Amino acid sequence: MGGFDVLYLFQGIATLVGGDPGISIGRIVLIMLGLLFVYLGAKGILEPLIMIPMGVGMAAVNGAVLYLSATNQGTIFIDPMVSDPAPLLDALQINFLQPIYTFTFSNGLIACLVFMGIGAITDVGFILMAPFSSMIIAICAELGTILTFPLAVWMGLTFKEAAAISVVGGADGPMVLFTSLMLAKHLFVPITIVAYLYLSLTYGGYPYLIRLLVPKKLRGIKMDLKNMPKVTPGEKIAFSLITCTILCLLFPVAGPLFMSFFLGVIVRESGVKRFVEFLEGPVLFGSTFFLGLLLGVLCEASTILNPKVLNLLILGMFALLMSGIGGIIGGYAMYFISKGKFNPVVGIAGVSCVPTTAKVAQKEIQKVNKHALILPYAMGANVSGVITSAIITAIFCTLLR
Amino acid sequence: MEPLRRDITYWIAGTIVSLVGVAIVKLMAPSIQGNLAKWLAALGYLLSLGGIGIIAMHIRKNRKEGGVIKEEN
Repeated sequence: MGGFDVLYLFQGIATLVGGDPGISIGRIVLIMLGLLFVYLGAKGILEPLIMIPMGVGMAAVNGAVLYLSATNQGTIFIDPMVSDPAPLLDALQINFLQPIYTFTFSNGLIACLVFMGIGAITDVGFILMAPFSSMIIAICAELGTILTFPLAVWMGLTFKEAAAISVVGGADGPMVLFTSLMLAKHLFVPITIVAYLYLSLTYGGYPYLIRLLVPKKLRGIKMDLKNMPKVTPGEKIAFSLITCTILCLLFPVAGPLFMSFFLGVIVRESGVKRFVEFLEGPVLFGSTFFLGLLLGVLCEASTILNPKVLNLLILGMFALLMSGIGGIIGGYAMYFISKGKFNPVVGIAGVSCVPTTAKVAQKEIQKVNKHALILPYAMGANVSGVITSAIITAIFCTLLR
Repeated sequence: MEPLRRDITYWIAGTIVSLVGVAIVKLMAPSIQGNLAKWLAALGYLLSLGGIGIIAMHIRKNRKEGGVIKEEN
């Protein structure tokens, strides 16, 4: 027992003490951040579905760094950098989350699974009830994506990296994940974390943006719901099939995303109860859980500490802010086109964070006028936003891949 | 599926317009050189999405004029 070293027993602490000081400080900060995410998620301030598994993953992975060999430090959670077949096979047998990462993240499957679930909880009938306003608002709500791309290039990012971060403006997590995996794999961890972090904050931040940009008088406008047409499931299925096929023909590179989304929609409308329950339950929540957990585990200090992260934080916030402003501009455009009958707050729902932004719009309006219901219009803009974001993703992937 | 059958003309028209757009983007534009190819591609994309728009707009218009709403009233 004479040669026993206590630090050998507690290797997490030994690597913290003996490692690069920058990385060690990074590890401590990330552990604290992970604990904070869990706390804020549990309190409901940030989105708990993502933040709780992500926070636990972040705290655990940064604590569990050990000596893999005499000179080499690492974890037995995951190795995101390994790609050659032989080391990958080793990693699959050692790192417990490696199989999920390798078989669902690196090929974009996790984004598609989330999208299938989103499709299964989405009613495309809302777009067909008010197609014109939904499309106008959704296009305007891409302002953040459009403006962030040149700004990111100006800040020194490559075209591919700029495209990946600007998609945050679409406010659609799976889309950001898919684009960054396709175009900037080396930055997909920080970009996706920035995206999910900010998406969690939209629920708290957008109400202030609405109050700042839309006067109280306009926020209380009551919209006409009596003339909303009813769309049959058959029409929704036919519309989804045609739209899916056309979009796949135009943008094959984003075909998996389109197929996943519209498959969810069609399953929902076809009324196959077992499949609907499967997609909106185990598939959506299972993939969201592992998405959060793996994002957290990928936040190991030596992987995530990248000088570009600060730029990504600024650009992500700019993209979401500008998209919110763009959406409200779209709402104002519809207000003027309809000669004052359209509530401009609906515009914020064009930012396709389904169904968060639609709920935010409804909540803000009801604070001013308890009898004002805008949710069908907001959901139309919301779903249209998802499709518009997917089209923009497809354009970026097609042009830059 | 009754309303779908009744509006079949618009469904077919919208689908054809979209497919013509796809054909312009994927077949015509790549075979042409210079700026014209870009304009053709842009036109193709617009037609493709416009075709989907035709279907969407018609569902709403038709319902408001003579469909479900009038029947309910």
